[in-house]
Amino acid sequence: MRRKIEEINTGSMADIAFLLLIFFLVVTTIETKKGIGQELPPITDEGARYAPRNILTILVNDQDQLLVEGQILLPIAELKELVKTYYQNQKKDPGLPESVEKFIPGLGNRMVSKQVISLQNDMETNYGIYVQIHSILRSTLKELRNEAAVREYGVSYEMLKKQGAHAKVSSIKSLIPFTISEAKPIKT
Amino acid sequence: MFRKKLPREKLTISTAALPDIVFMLLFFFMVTTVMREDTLKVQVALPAAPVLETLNNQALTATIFVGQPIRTEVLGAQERLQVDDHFIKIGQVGAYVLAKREALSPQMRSKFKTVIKADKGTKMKLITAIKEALKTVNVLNIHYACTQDIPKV
Repeated sequence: MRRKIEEINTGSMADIAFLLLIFFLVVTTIETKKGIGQELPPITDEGARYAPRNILTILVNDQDQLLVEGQILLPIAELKELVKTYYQNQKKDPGLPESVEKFIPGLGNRMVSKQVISLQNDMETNYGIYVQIHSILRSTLKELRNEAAVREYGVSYEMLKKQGAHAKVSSIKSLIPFTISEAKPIKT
Repeated sequence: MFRKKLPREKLTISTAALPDIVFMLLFFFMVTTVMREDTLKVQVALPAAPVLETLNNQALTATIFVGQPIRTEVLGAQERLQVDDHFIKIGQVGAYVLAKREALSPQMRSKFKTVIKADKGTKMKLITAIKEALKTVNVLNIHYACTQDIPKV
């Protein structure tokens, strides 16, 4: 009679695996890679000069309240529409930023807004609100560039970037320049 | 006729596949786990923002943590800066970031970014000071770390 081969009892294998699993579960930290990018302006000797009508001033106080062009803005979400209205200035309102005709390589002559956003905050402003304002401004820029790209090329700006069409991307960039100044601008 | 009752075996659910399932989960977590590199000495609750960009290469960054010390009772509630495993003063930020950048190969230096992981309650005074310090050493790319804020429809 043949001897039966002894089997190893694997019942406790699950326990061991569970132990390891729980260890890794506890140790895992999901690293945050998300955030908002910003490029600081290099230090220059003199500040740039802008006409007052071209500057959109956003002031943030230590209570995290916004003062945009001298008016209290309550919901922060309204900032986007406001910036867009200023930027486009379709009614050619003399109080709003002017546009100049500019030659853009690959597109020809286009009207380019001269708007500059001046963001000033108090020493005691919370960092959280600052980041929020930045992110709103970034998303406004994204939308404006997307609209321009669709108008000019029929594809969104994101798509142009993905396709690697560097010439087109840089034309859109110069068509919709977006300057955020955090220094105190000197009014002429 | 009456059938004679057979001694029924107890019905059990086979758990043979259980280790396989657990191992699968285990491997998933083993692969995705990134061991925390720095031990945090400051409290950082990241701010939430709606539109976010993703950081591409974490090897090309220097991270500065900003927040109140965890051991507030010993170190006080004054916000501090932390890099790697130690506190630094605002005056040392420039030198630290430059050293980090110099450690990279020359063609990679233009992609270098400073990541600021600051608590949302930090006062702008400190953040502005960091930015000024970065400007003086001409390291101009910043990335503010945030958490995703789902926009309300």
